[in-house]
Amino acid sequence: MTEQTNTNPEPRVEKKPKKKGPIRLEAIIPFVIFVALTWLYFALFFDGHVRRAIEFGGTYANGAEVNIGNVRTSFLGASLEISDIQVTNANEPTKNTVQIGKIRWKMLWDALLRGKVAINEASILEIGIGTQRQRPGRVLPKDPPGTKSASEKLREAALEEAKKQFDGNVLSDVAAILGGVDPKEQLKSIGDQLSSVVRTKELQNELKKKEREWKDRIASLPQSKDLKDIESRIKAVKVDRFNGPLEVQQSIRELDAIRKDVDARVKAVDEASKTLGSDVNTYSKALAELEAQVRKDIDDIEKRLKIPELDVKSIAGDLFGNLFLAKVEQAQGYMEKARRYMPPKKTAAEKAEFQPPTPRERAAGRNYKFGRPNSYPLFWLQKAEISSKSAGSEFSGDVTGTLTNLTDDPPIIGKPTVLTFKGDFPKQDMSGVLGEVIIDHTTDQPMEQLTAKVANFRVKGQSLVSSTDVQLGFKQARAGSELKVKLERENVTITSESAFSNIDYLIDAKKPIVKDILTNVIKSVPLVTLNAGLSGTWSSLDFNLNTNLGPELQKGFEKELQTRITEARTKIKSFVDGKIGAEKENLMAEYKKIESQMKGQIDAKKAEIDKFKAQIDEAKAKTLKDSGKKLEQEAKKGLDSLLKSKKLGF
Amino acid sequence: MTFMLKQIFSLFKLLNSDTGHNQIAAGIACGLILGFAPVFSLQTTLVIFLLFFFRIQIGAATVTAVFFKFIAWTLDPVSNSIGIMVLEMEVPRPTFEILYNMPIVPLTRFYNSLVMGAGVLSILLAPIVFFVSKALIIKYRAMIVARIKDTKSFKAMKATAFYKWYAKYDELYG
Repeated sequence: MTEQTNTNPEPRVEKKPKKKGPIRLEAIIPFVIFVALTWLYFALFFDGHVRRAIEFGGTYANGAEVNIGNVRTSFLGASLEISDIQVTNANEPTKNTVQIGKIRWKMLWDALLRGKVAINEASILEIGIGTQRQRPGRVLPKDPPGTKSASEKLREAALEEAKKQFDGNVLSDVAAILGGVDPKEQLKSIGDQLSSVVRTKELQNELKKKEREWKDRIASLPQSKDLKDIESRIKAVKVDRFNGPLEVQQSIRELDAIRKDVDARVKAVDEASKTLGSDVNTYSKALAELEAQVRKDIDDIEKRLKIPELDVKSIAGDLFGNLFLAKVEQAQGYMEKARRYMPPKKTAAEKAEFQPPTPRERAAGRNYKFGRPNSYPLFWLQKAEISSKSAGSEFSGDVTGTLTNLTDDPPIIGKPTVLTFKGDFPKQDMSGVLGEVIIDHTTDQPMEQLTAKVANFRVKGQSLVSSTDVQLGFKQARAGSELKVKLERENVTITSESAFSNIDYLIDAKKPIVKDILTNVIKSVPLVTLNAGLSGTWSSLDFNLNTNLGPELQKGFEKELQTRITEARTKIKSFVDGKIGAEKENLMAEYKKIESQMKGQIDAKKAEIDKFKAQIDEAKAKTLKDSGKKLEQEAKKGLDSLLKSKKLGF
Repeated sequence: MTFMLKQIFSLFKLLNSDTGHNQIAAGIACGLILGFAPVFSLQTTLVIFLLFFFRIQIGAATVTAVFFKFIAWTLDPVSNSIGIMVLEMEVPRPTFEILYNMPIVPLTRFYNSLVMGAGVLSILLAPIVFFVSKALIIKYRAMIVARIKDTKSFKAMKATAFYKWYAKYDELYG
């Protein structure tokens, strides 16, 4: 018997899948991993990334490297602590404009939940000014011209112009003149390059061209033959003894035709006269400008030969102009930054210019505002207490102050940013520092105001004049200074009052006479004052600099210098006169001659034509009078014959 | 990306299975809400959290979100009008004022006419879409999937070693 094998396999039991509930429990592990990774990021990397972001943004805003030592954030406490902030001075990269030991701030969770940063409590500690950097900071290249607004360009142009104004160095020029400069050789090299000489030649050519034009024009006017024709036509017209109204009508028609003809010629003459008048005016103006050109040439040569203006204002400008200008540039730079990062309210024109970004895919909809009692700007530092003790580093000082309402959107909070500070920097030998900065960008009329006073500070190695001929400056001095800056839209007012005492001067000059004069003058000036002012708009700046050094230097040099300056000026004037005088006189005489000739010819033609006009009018009047009389006589005759034939009984 | 692809494959698998029609329908309804939202806001995050923590078909939500995004784009003028109408109503105005000045809530951007209009429209349409899509899935399974499964070619394919291998793999790792 064979064993029967069971070939049918056992029925397979289908595994019922486990029923899953509505909650995705398997998502818990990925979620936990996600939370853990987020926490790890914030614990390990977030602070570093914030530090780099602040460094990047700060460098961009400052225009020079900004370094942050350390950043510590606390999520639960909504707080931030930044240590060792160094802001490189863009003009002097080896130094910091400001160095801050520590900044601590605490943000409002209420604002953070609205996606905004509002800091209600902050402290700034260990402030140092002008500290030395371990290595020079990186300075960003200046914005290319295309990225600047029209007003920024205007301000820069105004400052460039001011720099040129203070560029000439009076004392160097004085030294050169005292050294004995003979302008003859330099004048020779100028030769015929004078712009007035070139212009005179141009005017001569223009006059010749105009003369030809005028002659052609006069030739196109009615000639004596045409005038005689008119005269004979007038004479040929019958003006009396008419044989009937038809003849009268004929005469009047002829006279009107001649009158029309004469009027056309009068018009041509008038037009010629008008053109001549306008040409004369243009040319007279050009001649007047030539006079101004000559004066400018003299001024230019004086500048080229460095003939100094020995007046108090020029001396003050040359001594302290660039020093003051550096402060103005600094104020301008800060103003630009404040207006860029704390934009004021837009004016109606600016609002009209502003085009909101268009949505790419979907329509933007309309945003409704349901009141804004608790709204915050994106960044708002409500109040920061500044407190610094000088114990730490070499450059820190004892400073106290407050900073309130620093924000990126001042119109929202409606309060100006105010910074007040006072203190001393004993290690830098600076005391009595007092300042107030107000930045009011709450309206469409932005205003920035700074009042700063330093009662006493040390000045070391301050150069006033530095050229190959003359060196003048303060090796060492004590100074006190007060600066007031007010910027309102495009209006600028800056005043600065400084006094320098206990001065140890640096005086050096190539020529002994210059050195002697400078030493003698300066001996009598133990206290140097400088009052500088700037007012106007950025497009038209009015500088006003006064220093007691000015009149003293003027007095000191005047005796030696005045004769030489006058002598040089006389030489220059006679040089220019020699180059242009005769040519100019010839041109004027030629112009007068041509003008009177042309005017005379046109006037004569005009007078002759006017005479014909009068003749025609007279002939017409006579014709009408004569025909009237004739008509009266005819009428009387007719009436008489009628009376006789009808024999009327009255 | 791998996660998304996996979700989309699982959508097709689920669609052709006998279960999970509620998950797919809920996914389509969530996709409608996601697609109608004009910007990424707090409510979008909330829907994403719901997708993640509840057994809603994420693939269905993703695919339909893209589809509804186009529908919503054409309906923008209608959504905008609805939003304006709701936001200009006098009765809920005090509530809106409170919400506007509360923390977190402004992050929903409810004060924007398009967000409000699209939100109202999507919330109203979501239950309808849920039930309609559920009915359609059931009908699809009965009419199309069942018929395909009855075809000889499908049966032949099911008998292949490759399919058996795939079925085993799906059972173990799917």
